[in-house]
Amino acid sequence: MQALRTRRFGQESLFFEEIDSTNRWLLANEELFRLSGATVVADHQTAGRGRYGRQWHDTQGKSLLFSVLLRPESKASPLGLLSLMAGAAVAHAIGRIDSHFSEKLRLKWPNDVLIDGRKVAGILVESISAGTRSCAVIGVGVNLRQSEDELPKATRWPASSLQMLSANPVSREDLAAEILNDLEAAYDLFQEGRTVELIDPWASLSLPLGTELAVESGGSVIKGIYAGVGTEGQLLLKGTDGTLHGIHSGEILWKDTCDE
Amino acid sequence: MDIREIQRLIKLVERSQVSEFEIEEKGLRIRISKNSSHSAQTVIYAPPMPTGMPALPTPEPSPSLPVELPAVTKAGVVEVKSPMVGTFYSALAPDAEPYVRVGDHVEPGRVLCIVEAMKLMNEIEAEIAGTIVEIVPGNAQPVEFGQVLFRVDTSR
Repeated sequence: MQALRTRRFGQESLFFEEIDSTNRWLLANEELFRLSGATVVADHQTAGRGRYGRQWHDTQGKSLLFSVLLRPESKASPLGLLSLMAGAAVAHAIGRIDSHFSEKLRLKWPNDVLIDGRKVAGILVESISAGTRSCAVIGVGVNLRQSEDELPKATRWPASSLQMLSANPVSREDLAAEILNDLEAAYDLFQEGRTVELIDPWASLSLPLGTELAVESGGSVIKGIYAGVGTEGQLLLKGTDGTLHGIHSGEILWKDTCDE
Repeated sequence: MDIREIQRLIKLVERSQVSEFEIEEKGLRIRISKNSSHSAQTVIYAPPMPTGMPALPTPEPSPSLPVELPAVTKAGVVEVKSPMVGTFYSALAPDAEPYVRVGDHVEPGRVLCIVEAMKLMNEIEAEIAGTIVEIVPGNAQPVEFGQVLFRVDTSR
């Protein structure tokens, strides 16, 4: 990867033509790697993971799929910020690779990457906590070359691929390198506890403040006005009665399904 | 060698085909053995007392290792608390078996649950051996920082 300018991230990497899940493999084999930055790349995942057991589908060779191992120091920054940080790194890297996208990119809390309102990349961070020890993997999936037919239909949010949205072909290696460059710089901020600087790149691509949203959280739907994110990465939503909700766990609903 | 390294060794042995493993480092000898029906057991040998040295407190066998242990309540019952605000999940997926049930015996390193926040799925591992006597939150319930998730009886 010529564009890779990192000291650690992606410098130690493994490639699998096919694997169940790069996240699962890296978490199960974390003892093999002492430092942050070890990277596992796959051409195809047979059991790609999403939030709470959801599947991440891909067609062989048409996505960028990788996971990076992190060893966050305890109390460096709130762990949940890793999730937003990863979304921002992927979105900004896509914008740099093809400037055609830069005006159309948005981040949907916490870390879905949207272009023209369609999801082109998903991120799942998985971690292990045992006392003061923690280990995390950031799993990234970017839809690169899928056609409409190759994308899953029954998703909660409409999906797309970079190829469907731009005539310029995107190099998988270059995009991976750009993401890893951003991730390493952001992770340094995370370790130094510089949370404001960490959130800034995320906030610059978030929905406009004041956007009306409906969020499914804890089994109920909360409607309100988007009021930014808090220092732990939680979604801030101002309810219709003026109450400010800090939502740590939940999902923004697609506007067409909000009234269901 | 600290408790985390020992836990890592136990995990490695559990996952491997090796049935017995012994290591000696700075006078501390550790033997980890397992058989087909049990998970890895650890025996830690005290370092030999050099003559002419001031007396040291006698190291006790595991699990009284010199580590910061979670809050112990009555009669050896340990509370496992949530390290973050989020949603408690007792299984990896809605249709999956729960990680643990009341009555299960757990060893250090066993995954007890997931607490999810900001789409970060955080596996909470047992730090101590014992029997699960209570699972406090229901599946998919919101939990606060420091909220008790499990009570583990370390005497069983």
